[in-house]
Amino acid sequence: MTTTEANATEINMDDSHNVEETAFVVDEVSSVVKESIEGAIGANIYQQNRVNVWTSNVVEQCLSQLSKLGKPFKYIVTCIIMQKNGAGLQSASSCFWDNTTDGSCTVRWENKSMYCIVSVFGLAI
Amino acid sequence: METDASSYLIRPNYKHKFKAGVAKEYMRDILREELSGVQYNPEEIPTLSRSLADTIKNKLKAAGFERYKLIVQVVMGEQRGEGVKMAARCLWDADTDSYAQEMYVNDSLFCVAAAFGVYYY
Repeated sequence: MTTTEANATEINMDDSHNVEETAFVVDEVSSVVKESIEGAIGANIYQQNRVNVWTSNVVEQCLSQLSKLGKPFKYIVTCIIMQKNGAGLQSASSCFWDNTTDGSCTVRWENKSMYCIVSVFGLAI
Repeated sequence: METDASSYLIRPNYKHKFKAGVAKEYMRDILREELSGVQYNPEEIPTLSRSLADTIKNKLKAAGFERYKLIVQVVMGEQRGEGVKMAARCLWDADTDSYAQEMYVNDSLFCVAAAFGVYYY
């Protein structure tokens, strides 16, 4: 009888483990994104000729870290880098998806010379 | 999303693929119509960008891309001669998923719209 109960407990834990894995967890993704931004652009000053490389690096690093999470998701990562000039910037998104499984996360980051907005959209397979 | 008789499909028919050209045309028309002559106004910009994103999404929904999940992102900013760069990378199925982008610039603002279509297996 003891063995049967132990088995039943294991099965329950596996089920809840599956449910956690297939939901979009905003906090985890947001921390992954923050680390990627810090690693890729950190304390750099805005330079017109380097910004191309920086956006690519930020996005690629985010994507590789996200794929390492091993979740059954398709990801779309966008990154906007803007020089600080006193101008305003607004980003909006509208999505047609399944609210229970899909989600998005937007991280705003800045340093002395530029703003960086990274949006991650995760769609369950 | 409802399941019907075609829920066994794992690849879209070539006719039902997300057509980037068609989506780009729709986005260009919507941006031109909504933004020509508009000045950058910090109070109105949040509502304007949200309504643009919703308009584009509704238009793409009506365009009949069956079984596609849609994501539309609209970025608007004031034109002051500053440098801006936007990049996107996606981890998806390149056979079935695609994206379209369109940009609109006038004297006082710039606007970038990106629409992503992801197939729902």
